[in-house]
Amino acid sequence: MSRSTSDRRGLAALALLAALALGCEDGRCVRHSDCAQPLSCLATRCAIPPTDADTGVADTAVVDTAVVVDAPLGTDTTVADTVVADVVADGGASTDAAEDAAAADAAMDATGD
Amino acid sequence: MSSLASPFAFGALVAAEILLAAAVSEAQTQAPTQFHSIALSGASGLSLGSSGGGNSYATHTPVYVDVAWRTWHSTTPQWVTGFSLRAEVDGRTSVGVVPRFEFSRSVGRLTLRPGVAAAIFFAPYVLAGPEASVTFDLRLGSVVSLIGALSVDVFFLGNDVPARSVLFATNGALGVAIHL
Repeated sequence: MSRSTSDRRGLAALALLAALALGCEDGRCVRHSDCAQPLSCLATRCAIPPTDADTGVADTAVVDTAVVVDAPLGTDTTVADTVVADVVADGGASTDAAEDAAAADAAMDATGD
Repeated sequence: MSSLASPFAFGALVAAEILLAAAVSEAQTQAPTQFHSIALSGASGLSLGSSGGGNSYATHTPVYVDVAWRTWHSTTPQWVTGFSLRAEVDGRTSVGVVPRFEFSRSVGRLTLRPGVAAAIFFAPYVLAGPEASVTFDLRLGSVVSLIGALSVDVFFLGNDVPARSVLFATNGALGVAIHL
């Protein structure tokens, strides 16, 4: 009985050592340098670093570029509306400014029509 | 009278010379001497990251190599100072310095050196914190010794530490030292 318990403990120790030897589980981290660029270590997981609330530039820019590239060709209003939706989803501080700009863009288009 | 004094004078001179030679020899062996050693070791261990949200995760410490220089004075051989050049070579490449201060205690061929240090990685990122260690130095000859070390680090400074996180590391090292 005690030998069996001892064996189990030994196996558990070996499993722990093997797990440690294999290194980080995918996506887990204890330091930023554990993560591939451009990810950072947030709460022991590799993730896209949050953007600065004052500018909201990096995250928004990536999403907006993707939307513009993937969006079907259409009017300026369509593109502007899509961008506004993404910015709102991001919840950044730049939301109001972008929304105003898009609204103005749409208004200009409507006036032009 | 002089014929009697002469053997005594000669004997006294010989005795004085012997005493003087012994004194000089003792003075030479006790002359203040600065000792140095260079050690090369490799190390790894267990790292535990703990974030403010209650999340924690443990993984192996990236393997690093450590080139350590130590020095001590013959008048105070129990106090050892020095520093290491340290480089992580496992999954990333980084370099740092580790200034240290140790207390040395010899038991036969084995020397134990508990000490404190500051581990400071400075390139390509910054990671710094205090380190406590115990080094075992087993003399294999007059020049070479086998060394091992156990250390505990607490990293909380630098841009490699996630926000509101502390990184604990317990590592073991093995290497050789050359006494100069």
